[in-house]
Amino acid sequence: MNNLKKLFKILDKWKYYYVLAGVLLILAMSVRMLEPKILQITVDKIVAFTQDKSVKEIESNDPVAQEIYGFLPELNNDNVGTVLIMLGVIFLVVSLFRAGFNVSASSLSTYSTEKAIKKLRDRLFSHLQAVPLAYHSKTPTGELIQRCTGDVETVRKFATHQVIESLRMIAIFFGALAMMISIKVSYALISICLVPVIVIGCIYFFKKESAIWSRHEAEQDKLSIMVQENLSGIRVVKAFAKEDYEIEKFTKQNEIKKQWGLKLLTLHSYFWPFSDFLVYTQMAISIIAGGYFVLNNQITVGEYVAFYSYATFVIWPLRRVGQIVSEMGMTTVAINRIFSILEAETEEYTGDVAMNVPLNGEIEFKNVSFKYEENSDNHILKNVSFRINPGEKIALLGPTGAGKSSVISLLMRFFEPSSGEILINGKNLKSYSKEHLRSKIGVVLQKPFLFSSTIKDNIAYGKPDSHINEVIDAAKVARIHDIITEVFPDSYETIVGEKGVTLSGGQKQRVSIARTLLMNPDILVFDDSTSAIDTETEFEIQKELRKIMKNVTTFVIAHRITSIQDCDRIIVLDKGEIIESGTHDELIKRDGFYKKIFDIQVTVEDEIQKEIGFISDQKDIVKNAEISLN
Amino acid sequence: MTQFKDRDFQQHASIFPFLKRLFGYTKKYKKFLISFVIFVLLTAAAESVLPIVWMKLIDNAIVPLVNNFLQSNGNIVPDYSELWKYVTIYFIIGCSVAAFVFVFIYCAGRIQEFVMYDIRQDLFKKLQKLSFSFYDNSAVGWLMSRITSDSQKVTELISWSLIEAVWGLGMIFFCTVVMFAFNWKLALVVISIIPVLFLLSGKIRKLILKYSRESRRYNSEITASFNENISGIEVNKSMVQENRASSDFKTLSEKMRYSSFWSECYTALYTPIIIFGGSVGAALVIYFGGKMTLGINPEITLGTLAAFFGYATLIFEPVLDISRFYAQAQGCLSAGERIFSIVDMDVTVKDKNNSTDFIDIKGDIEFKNVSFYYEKNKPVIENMNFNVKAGQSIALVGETGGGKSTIINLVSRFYEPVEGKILIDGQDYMNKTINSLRKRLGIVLQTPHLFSGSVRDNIKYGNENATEEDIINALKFIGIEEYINRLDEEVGEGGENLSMGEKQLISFARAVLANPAIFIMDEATSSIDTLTEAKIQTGINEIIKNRTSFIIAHRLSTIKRCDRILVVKKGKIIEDGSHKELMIKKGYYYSLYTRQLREQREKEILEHN
Repeated sequence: MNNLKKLFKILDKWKYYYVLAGVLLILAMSVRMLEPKILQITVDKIVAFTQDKSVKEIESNDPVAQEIYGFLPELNNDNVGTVLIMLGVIFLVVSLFRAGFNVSASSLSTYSTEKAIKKLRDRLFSHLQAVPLAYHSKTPTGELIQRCTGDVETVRKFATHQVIESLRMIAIFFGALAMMISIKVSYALISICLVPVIVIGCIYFFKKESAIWSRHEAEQDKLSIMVQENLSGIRVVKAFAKEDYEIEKFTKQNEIKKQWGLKLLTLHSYFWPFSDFLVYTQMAISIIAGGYFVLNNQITVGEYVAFYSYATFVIWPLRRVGQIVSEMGMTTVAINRIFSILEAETEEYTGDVAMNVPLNGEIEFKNVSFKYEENSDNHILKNVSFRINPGEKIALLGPTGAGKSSVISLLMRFFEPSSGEILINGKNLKSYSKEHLRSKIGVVLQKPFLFSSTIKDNIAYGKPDSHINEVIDAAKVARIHDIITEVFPDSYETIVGEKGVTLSGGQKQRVSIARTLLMNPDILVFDDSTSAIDTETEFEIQKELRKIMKNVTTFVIAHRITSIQDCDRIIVLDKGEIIESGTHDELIKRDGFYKKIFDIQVTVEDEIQKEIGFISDQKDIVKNAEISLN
Repeated sequence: MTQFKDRDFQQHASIFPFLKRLFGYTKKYKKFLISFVIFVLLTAAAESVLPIVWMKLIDNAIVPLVNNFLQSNGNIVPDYSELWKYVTIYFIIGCSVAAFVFVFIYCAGRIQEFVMYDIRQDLFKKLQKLSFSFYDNSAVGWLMSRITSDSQKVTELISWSLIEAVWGLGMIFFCTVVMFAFNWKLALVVISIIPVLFLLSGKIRKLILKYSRESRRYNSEITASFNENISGIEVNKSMVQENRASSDFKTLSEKMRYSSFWSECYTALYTPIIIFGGSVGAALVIYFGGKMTLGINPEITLGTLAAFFGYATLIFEPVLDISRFYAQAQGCLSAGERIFSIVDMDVTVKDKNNSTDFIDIKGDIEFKNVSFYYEKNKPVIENMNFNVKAGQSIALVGETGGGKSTIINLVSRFYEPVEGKILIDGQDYMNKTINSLRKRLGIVLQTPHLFSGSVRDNIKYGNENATEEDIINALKFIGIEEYINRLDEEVGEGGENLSMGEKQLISFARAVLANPAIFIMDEATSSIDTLTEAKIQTGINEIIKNRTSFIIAHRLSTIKRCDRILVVKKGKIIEDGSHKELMIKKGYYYSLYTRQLREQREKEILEHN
């Protein structure tokens, strides 16, 4: 029931259309019920005619037939053709109505389903955009995609086909049953006596089938995983010349999968004949019972003929009950998985400070601590305090896992500090809306993610309505303009990513720098975003940045000391705590972490000089070297 | 090169060669296929006879008795024997239908599973043979769907869809025969409707196909969009583009909705329209047939009329089934084309005729004017010459894309030289078997790949016949005795339970167990903790001792320890010599070394603080 409620929730306002579709289907079915009637009347008319009896004597008493009789004149030698034409036309009209109702019911349900599913997709998409980053870091991307695509498709198929199909079946069943009852109640009951057996049999079968089915799927999955593993490791396979071994392994699993497939199909090959047998038995029972009724003049021959058709209507579709039940099970699972996404809480976006207030770039961390899980003792940041003046350029340095990126995540309000507060322009961060903060703090992310679209769209991602000149200016600063115009086939219109040109790590980083610059941020953050760019280019980019970002507060997280040497201040973090901070000059005077790194440059040069010097002394070695070079 | 990632297999090929080839797979299972066809036809025959039984029942067991009854004004006791006779016949036919159904489902199931097995077997075997250059250009996911979904799709066509098609054809045939046997005029009336139904069916199918293709395309765009915007969520959030992304998505999902709606809508229209077509036939039967039953010498009986009415309302079904088969065959065409394109692919690297085994490889290697390229004007390796003595260790250094990996792929004969020769122990390796060379190679790749199974299974991958002692010795050899206690540990899919460093160590042990004559390594640059890194270093040192080795090295300590360093740039060797020689030369290697040493030291301090 709960699941049904959820399905209704998905179908949203369109669920009422399904009611309408249901009504149309019932209409279609009732019209369909008339078709055998026409045959019945034709037969009875003819019997009456050949018997030279008045139709009144043998005509059926049921009201539907009476209605149709009303249309028709008394049959006599002169109007045989007319009556038959009328019957044919009535039949056609009935069929036309049936087709019409069916078509409109189906299109209505399709229309509603597609509308509802589109809305569901949109909701899922925007919901996933709105949930906090923490949710994404906890849930694997593949799983989310599977839910948003595969599970949605399962629900869509169920809503399009099975909902309508079930309604149709119910309508047919009761419609035909009603028609049969209107002819003769006892006969009707005899004609459905095996129905419970068939239905229970179907449900039992599909239960059993689904058990074997899931085992079969599991073996199929194993096979897929094996292939996946083999293909991704094909170089290892070839390197060790293990092709035959792999083929043997695959053959074994393929064989197992085949065996389960055969088991599944054998089950089917028992079920379908069995249900056929039941259906034919039921039909035979109906025929024999009907025969007794006709011969005892309890029903007319026409009624008998019509009854045969109604019995067929009732019985055959019943075999699908099991299938619908099993698909309902799968849909339930899909619906629950979809709702687990929709029920995740979204981020709070609002804030008190007006959007147009610039950030100035005065930042203060006051005793900020942070941990991912509330109850965990594992502090990522411990009591971090520092103050940054507008326009300052600050470097964050420290080993991996020291908490550098967390400082930035807190500043962007991707996460909230567990204690302490962060101030911008003297106001608590929480009074700024997330939209405000994020649009004014430009972060060049560690992983330079690009979208598969044109290079221009990628650079203008944060400001889609940018003029191409702005894009070019940003690209020039990030030192990617020349590559775009000279190397890429379609210049700024080149498609990048999966379906287009693949960029090197350094090129991607430069594009993402340009992308951030274009947003014209008040605070600029480089989160280890120049690691794949060579030192010379990085130096050029920095030179350009200094020109245009003079008053912009800048954070640099870097692994290379050359990237941060000219920062106003350097904060060294280790295990979530600030261990050193000061200007370059101050820090090299202290014998700390920074000094150690700084000294490397000097020691390395010494080391190499020594090495070469040592070699140069050994002249015979040099000689040998020359010989081998030649 | 054929691009297998995005290559669109258009529906240009004709359907018949495809079906012919597909049916070729059933040759082995002739028994099943033949009995399958026979029993489907028997079913159709039985089902087409049933209305006749019903008709005879009305005509012989009911109508005369009813007439007598009416004439005698209800004064005679009816005789039920005729009724029982016909019902028994009806029931027997019904039971035989059930029996036939059992046989053909049984056979069809076997054909499906057997052929699917065979196709997958063919594909997989071919994939094991195809060369590196094929894999360089094919996405794993793309190949996966060939083996998993495409093979299923095409085998369903020749099992379940085929049932429908054969049944449909049989039904039309037998119904036609039966109808002609009873009354050819009325039979013509019913049959005249069939071509119209097919025509209608074809037209609607075309529309369905058009929109369903469109919706499938949008569907994959939707998946891609989900993928991109979930993977790129950090960018969306940090640039506050969540709403724009959502509204872009709405445009896309609206397109999807539109085409999906029309495709489903035409599908929904399809059956009612065809049924209505059948009803036109039924109406004609009422008119013409009704006329024929009247008169002093009625041309047909009432039962015949009822039977013809039945045929007319049923004839739409075989039409639906046959056209469904055709549509499905069309839908499978591209799947089949993709499968056969792999099965037919040329294996570029393979043993030549008359090639002999390497008896024992010492490890002398010579490149003689070797060039390698995909396109002549873009050489990857250009006229390369060098000579490596057995036991020498070679470090390959240089920029990414300069040709280092190509060199080791050429040595391993994953690629073959387009021009020139590669001699191993003085013999052109093109005249030797690939297996005898690879068996003597030990290769450690940049990203260590493990297979599901235990640590032991993975190490034994290098030599199936190795004893427990051999494994322990191999672990000791590279200095990781502690793994002796971890041999039964499961590594998980692709080795996911282990860290990168652990995987790398196991792949070393795997290579050592093969006791290679030539050792080849593409050193990993990914971050590995200090302890593991030190262990890997010891491992490498042990392996390369007195063994011909090629190493693409990033760690300076590894490079320095090699006997000889080749600096490769743009497909050419620009510097060649020992570490010391090249340092004195103060060329490319010197500056590379200086820069890397500084970065490495910085990293050391940052990481090990």
